[in-house]
Amino acid sequence: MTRPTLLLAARSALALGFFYVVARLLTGDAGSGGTLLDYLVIGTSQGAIYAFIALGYTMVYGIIRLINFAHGEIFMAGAFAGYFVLRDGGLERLDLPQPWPVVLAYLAAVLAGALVSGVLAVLAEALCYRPIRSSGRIAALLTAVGLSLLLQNVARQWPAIGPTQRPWPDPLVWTTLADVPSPADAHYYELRTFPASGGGTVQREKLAVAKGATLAPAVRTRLEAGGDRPLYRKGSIEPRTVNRVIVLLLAVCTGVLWFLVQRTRMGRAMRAVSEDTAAAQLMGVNVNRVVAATFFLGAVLAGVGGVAYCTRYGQVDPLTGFMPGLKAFIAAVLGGIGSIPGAVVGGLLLGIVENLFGAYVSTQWKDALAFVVLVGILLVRPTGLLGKARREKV
Amino acid sequence: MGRLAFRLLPVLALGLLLATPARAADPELVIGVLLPMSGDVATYGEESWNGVKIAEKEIRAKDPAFAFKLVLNDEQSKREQVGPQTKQLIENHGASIVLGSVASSQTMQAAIVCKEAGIPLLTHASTNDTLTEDVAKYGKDVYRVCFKDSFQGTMLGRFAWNSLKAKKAVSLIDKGQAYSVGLAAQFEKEFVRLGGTVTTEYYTSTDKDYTTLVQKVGGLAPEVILISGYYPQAGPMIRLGKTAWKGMPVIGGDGLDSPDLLPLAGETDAKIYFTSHFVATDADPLVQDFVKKYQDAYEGKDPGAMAALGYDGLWAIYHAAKKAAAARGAEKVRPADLSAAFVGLEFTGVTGKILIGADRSPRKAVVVVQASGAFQFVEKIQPE
Amino acid sequence: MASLLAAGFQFTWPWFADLLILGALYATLAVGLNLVTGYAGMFSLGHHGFYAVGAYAAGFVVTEWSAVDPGSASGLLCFAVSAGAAVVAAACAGFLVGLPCLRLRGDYLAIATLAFGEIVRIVIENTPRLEGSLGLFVPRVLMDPTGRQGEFRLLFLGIAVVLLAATALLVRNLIRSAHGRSIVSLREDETASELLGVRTTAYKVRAFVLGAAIAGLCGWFYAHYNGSIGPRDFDMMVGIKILLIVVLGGLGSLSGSFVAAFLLIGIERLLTTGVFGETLKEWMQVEYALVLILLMLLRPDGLLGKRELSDLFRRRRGQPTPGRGAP
Repeated sequence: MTRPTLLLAARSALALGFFYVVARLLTGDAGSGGTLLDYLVIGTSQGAIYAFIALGYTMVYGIIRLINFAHGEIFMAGAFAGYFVLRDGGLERLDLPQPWPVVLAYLAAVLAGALVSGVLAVLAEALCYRPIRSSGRIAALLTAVGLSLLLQNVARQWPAIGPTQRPWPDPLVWTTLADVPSPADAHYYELRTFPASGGGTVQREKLAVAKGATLAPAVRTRLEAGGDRPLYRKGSIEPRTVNRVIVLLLAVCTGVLWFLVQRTRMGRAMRAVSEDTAAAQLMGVNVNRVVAATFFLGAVLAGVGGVAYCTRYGQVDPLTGFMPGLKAFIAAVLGGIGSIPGAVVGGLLLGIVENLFGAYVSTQWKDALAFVVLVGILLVRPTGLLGKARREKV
Repeated sequence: MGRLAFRLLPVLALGLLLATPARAADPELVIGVLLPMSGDVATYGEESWNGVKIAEKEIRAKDPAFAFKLVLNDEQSKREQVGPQTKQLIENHGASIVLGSVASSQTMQAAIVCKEAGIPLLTHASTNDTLTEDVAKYGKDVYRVCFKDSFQGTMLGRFAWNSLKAKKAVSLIDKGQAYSVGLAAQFEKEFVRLGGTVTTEYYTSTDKDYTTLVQKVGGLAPEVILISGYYPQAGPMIRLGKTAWKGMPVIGGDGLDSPDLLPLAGETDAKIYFTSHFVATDADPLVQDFVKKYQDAYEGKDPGAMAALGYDGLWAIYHAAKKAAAARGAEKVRPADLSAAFVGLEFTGVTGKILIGADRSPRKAVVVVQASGAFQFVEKIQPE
Repeated sequence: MASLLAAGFQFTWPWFADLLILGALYATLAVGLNLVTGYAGMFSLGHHGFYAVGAYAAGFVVTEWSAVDPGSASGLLCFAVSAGAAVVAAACAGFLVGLPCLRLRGDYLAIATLAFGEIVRIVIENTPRLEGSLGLFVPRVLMDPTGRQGEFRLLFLGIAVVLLAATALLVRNLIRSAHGRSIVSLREDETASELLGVRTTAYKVRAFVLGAAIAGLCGWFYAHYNGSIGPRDFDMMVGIKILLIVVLGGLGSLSGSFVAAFLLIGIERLLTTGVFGETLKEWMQVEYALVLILLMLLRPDGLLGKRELSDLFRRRRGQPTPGRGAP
């Protein structure tokens, strides 16, 4: 067999294997046991999140050769936006059949995350990156590092956010008094009073009901006195569902992105600027606008990833973006920085390899693996798995 | 070379000019308080400080002639901040004693600094045995008002064996925390002695992705899971283990005792138990008295173990200071005298009767708590 | 001054000594990094990794040495041997990292060195012998510290100043030699130098190794001075701080590194006392980040650019500066 044929065969086998794993994830119960398939499934889900972030890195690098160190913090900002929407948005109280209120709440959270991340990225580009675009590599890198630190620490100091981790809001599922089981399970019941017509804050009253206990008569009275105020019970989302949604979201987002880049005018402009900025400008492309659009798109994806990540792990804090950001960056380099399919492949690959390593070799050295992979790929094939080799012109 | 000296000289001169040669003599006792007010385990610091403040108010009301001052420094839950913050308390604020910290790793670092400065250290919450045992490293002026991990770990082992009827355990250890490593070791010793088996897995607080670990542990099918670290990691692990750990009880030490534990763990059916120093649902009248005081001061919130320990900690310092002053006369108490006064100190705190023995720790009861909706009192185990 | 004392904070001699010691330490680190980044033009984001390697090598030697009586001859020997170990270990690390990575340019080199820094941290955290995040305790080998606080600090201050002076002289003389001109040519235009016959990789490696060795020596000093070391003492924030000092002073300016180091450390220490208000103290990290960004936006050359303090004096007297490459 010739080398190209072998490579083709290997690649096809990998792709088929991957699709099988995804199929099992979407249809079956995989993901909660200790088998190889389960680890592959978790790896895919984790890798999908890396891919979301890696796409942002890769697009920005492709267009202005800048490693946007602050991208991890943009991811974190999106996560926080989603957090506040979920916690205070009150969408769960909509009078719709279950599970629609929860679905809508999460949709709103994802949108909020995407938007906040996008706007933040565009602002960062305009204020910090554009002025130093011509100042050289070191200036660009240091500005990016500085911005990353700035965002992290402003978030830590900001009163509404603070440095400690916050639990991700569990979706509140409303029920009525009649549905409250008796004897009650161990649940937190939260009685919410929403302010009349929009103003003011949400009043919360926590009623902890322990296992085996019935709702005390006094409590019952309090609830009933509220009239038909709905009673909320904390629900939860199955990890399996979360994994499925993440992978599906990635597929959808990648598809949309591909369409934007390949079939629209803006996409063509992006590709032109990425290929040769000077020529593109001479051809009438507004480079500034293209760069801003690129930042926006990359950040939107990161914001979505942020909400997804925090839903999966159950907590959010200002430093959430640091490690995933770094690993996603490694994934982008692995796949070929500047290449969109490379970011997706790199992300998924890193996620899977990391999880397999953690499961079968050692959980402690898992982090080190990512960095070793980075050094490895830089030494063996710096342009990444799917990147093009660049020649230095003298 | 000359140019270098030329540049350094003005800096040195300025320094010498501004520096005061020695600490001004304070008439009052300065108590340096070192706590994690922000960062990973911020609830510990906040609760501790709340407890300390209640004690402060009471002491001032009871004994207005006793002049003392509290200076609070935040170590941000970071080991490398402990050194500078402790040094600041001692050198720049003139502390004669340091109260704190909570996590054993931080307290160890503080103890090293205090040892070099010759200042006693009283920790209200650090349970790792080596703090008071390793005199070469930490000196002989470290005291505590809480129980040690050798006791806590042993009780956990017995609880798992007797009450949970578990024979196979998995121990999850935080490599970066001395508390976690020590507690797990004590648990394993006792559990194995009783006839059980323990498998160990490690995690760190920097790598927050515990999915693989949780899956792995679930795959081992243990009858009890010990998370010997702190709540910021334990909570998310329990959340991730919703399906993988179905039906397996989770136990831990006082590191799990935080109002943030259950919100982080999310909606879960898991049975969670931990050992601690104090729980607000304990019917003991002393406990309820303190709970009422705390609720009045802090808008109806229930006190956690750290608040009770902080309260007891400051009272311990007060008693020791009075004992030292009585021994020396009414002059200002020196750190060495204060330190000596702790040995044999006896009083009743809200966390129980505290008698500081020759090993510089008290023998106290441990409370078993179930985290289900709220923290439920299960039982109180007295030391033999 | 009255308001400062009123806050209960007293400026004592140990506090000042600490400030000068840390300033000198960071100045030395900056000089090492300046050699690599400022003069040789290699952007290294992992310099803190060598700092860590040196510190842990020294710590390892001290903890392996049988119980030492502080202040004795055995103690002094231990002190010296740990220094040697730190330098050798860091230099080896520099060589091992440098040789493969220095084929890379610009951004890729920066990322590779960043990865190295993180790998070192993870290795430390996971090696039981090094105690990981629990902190490696480095017993005192120089003198019995109890009751002689002030002199102890003075001793370390002396060592720090000597360290700084020696390193600065070494680097300065290197730069002025023929060796040095080759190194600087790397920064100016690497392709051109290569075409002119300069063995770029060899010189790059040499500069890198020397910079690493200097960082390693600083690590040795820190281990003994601090009494205990943990992986977080050498994390990315530290690396960025060193880089910030180098850039603030000016890439390619030795005296710039001095000035920037003392300035930054001085301000940091002053703000963290809390006497200028709790807000400034709490927002410390944000202030660092802002300084970095504003510096890049407004004055990317740093305070002194490529010049030295002595140049400023000479210019005033109307003398031309000795040749130092393109202006």
